[in-house]
Amino acid sequence: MTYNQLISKVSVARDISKSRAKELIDELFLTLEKELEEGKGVSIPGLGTFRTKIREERRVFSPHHETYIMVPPKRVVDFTPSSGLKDNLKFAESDDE
Amino acid sequence: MSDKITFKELVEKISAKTEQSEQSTNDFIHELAEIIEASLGAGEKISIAGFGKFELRWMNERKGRNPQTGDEITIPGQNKVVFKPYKALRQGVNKPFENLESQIIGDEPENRQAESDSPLDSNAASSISKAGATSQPVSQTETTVEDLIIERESPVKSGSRILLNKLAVKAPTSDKRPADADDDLTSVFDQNLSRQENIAREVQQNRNIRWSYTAAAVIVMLSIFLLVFIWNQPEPPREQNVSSIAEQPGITQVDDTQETERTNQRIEDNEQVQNTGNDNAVPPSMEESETITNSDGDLISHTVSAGESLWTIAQTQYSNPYLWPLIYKANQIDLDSPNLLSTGNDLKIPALDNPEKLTQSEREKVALGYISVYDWILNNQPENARYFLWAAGSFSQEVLRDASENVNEADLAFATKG
Repeated sequence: MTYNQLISKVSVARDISKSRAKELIDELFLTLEKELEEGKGVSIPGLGTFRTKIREERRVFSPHHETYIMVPPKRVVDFTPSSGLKDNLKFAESDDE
Repeated sequence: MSDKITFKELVEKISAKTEQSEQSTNDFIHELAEIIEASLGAGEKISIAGFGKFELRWMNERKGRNPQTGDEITIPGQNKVVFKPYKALRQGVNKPFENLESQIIGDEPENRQAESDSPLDSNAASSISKAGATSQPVSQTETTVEDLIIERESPVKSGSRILLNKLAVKAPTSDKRPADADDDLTSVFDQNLSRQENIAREVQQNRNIRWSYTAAAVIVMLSIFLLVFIWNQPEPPREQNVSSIAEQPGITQVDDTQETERTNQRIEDNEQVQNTGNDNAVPPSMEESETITNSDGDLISHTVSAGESLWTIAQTQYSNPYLWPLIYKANQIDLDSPNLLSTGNDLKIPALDNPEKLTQSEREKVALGYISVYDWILNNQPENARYFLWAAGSFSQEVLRDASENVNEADLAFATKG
């Protein structure tokens, strides 16, 4: 589902204009992004929890240099689906392959 | 590790921004979650511009252990909801570490790399490395391995291993992808490749930066060398002047007269007077031999490096940090503040024969140093000045007495009392 499809679905479900729906969705995810950039986590009921975590530095083999390189630590987004969402979809047919 | 904001706070923030009631924001988010769930259930991916995408990924049946009993169990295949952040979000979240770059660390034994694999991944990683045995470069990269794990779509349930096989084998010659390759796989490829390119570029930059660092270091060292050279040239004659002046009896008399009228004496002169006034303590012949045999002996040149203070320099030069005012005194003209040295500056460091056992004149010099520090401190942090006066007194009571006319009475009381 593309972003536009999501917007139109929300606008139908909430009975609001598409531009308003876009505004709301944008605001939600913009806020999420801001919080995540500050290293804060947010739980959204029915969807899951967004958090940040630090991925430690590690050594990897670089095929380009044909030698090992040290990849620096990184802060990454960690998403844990809420248990409801997880269980509901556990055995759903995913027929996109 | 991270703090969390509550859902309520989130709702409040969004309500304020979008000018609607919290109730309706709440409803909107729940509605959105339901739409996403329904869409995921239908096997779709949900892409949110500038943020990321949600998708279902099929996890194959695998063996596991019951952590309580240790029994081996079979975990049935199931779907997993996966969120993949887009680049903007990834970069934003990684802000604190964005300046870190990869470093080349040379060859490492294969097994060490295997150890560094996180235990979570090891299961999948081993299956892939088995699959990619024919195309080593790809399967050896941990990033690739991880990407494959992370980016794998929820594939046809039975065929995931085969797909991965294909993936691993094809990776090196990605240009000649067969047309029937799945679009998702293509994107996986491209991302893999671009990430590898990124790493390569990073390392390249790293190299360039190192080059420029080396060049800069060489230039700095050259300029320091030049400075030292220029500095040293006029030095010896000046020193000899001083010592010769000190030995001329006529001048000594002049100094002596100065000694009697100390009221508006400059600190510079002070030192000279001290030199000449203590000729009894240090025989002239000895002083002469000192200046001649090592013209650097009286004043050692020292280039300030980063992180040094007068205290640490005194520590290294005299192994007694409390003698630092001696250095300050010798460089007073060049230094704005005893607390502030600029890196690369050359300091003149008066030589001491035996820092552990100071002669009378040396003690007085240190005391004079403390007095001049006191003068500076008095102008800048008057409340601390008395300690330096006290220190001056502890080195030489005479100097303290001489200086007593120009100091704060309360400070003097403190210095003489203790």
